[in-house]
Amino acid sequence: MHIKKLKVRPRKEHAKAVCGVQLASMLGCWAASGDTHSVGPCQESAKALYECMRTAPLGGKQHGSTINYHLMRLGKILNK
Amino acid sequence: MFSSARHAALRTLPAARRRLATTAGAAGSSATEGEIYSVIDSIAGFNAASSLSSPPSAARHPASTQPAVINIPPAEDPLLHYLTSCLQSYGHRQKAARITARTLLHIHTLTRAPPLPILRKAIENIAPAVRCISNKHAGKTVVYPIALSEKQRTRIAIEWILKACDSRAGKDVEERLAKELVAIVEAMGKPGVKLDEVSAAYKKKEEVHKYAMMNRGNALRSA
Repeated sequence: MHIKKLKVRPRKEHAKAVCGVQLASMLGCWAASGDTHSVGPCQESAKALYECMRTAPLGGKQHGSTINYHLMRLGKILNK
Repeated sequence: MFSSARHAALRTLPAARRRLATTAGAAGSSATEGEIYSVIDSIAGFNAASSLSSPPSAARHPASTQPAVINIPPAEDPLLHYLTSCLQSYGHRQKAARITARTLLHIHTLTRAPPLPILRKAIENIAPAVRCISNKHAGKTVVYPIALSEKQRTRIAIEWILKACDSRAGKDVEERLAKELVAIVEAMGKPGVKLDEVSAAYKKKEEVHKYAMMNRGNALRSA
């Protein structure tokens, strides 16, 4: 089988959200206790989220997928 | 005008002794007042100022007992500077600065307590922790909550407070703002008080947090 141009349409990987764990735990605490102002039971989980947002590094730009470059490069060998 | 006590004390010392190590000192005493100060102060270039202030190693005398890196505290409280910026319009900085100063005075008049901690506490109480973003994905609108940074939280809190204070009685902005801030701080923690009725700012925060809670299933998705 001869494929003239070896190329794929790669799926874009979404950037991971920073502090996702702390956010999810705080929202879960709100749902469980109804303490949306984070003054009662959810105070600690809210504080953990604030600390995380203050210290966590910003998510950098994701590099695009290079699969097509490699396929182009190696396709020449495969098609011989 | 808004110099911290530390800065005022530094000014009274002779020039040679003015550059004290303030890494733990001023930063620490101000940081205990609230998390927002320490972060806004780093965003405002506090760390940049400290790195600029460190003298090159060649210029430092070997017998010097001063530390190599000296933190110079900012001239003005960063939160007050930011509040003044939010109040400012058409470049009239002096007018906005006057409003801020008088607001602090009114807070003190109403409570007989130091006004700056009350301002910080009010902003901390109102600041939302999350923001909801809606995205169209596969034909459906997906709403998901994301966490906010310190500066974003402060900005939103100040915006909501300034909007809400117009419903208070008082001839000037400073009176109304002071009444709003005091009401916000007094209401939190009181049993049997409906926060939505105390301030429109609390109501907005509740709405945002409830919406985020409803959509917490999407919290770990992004973009």
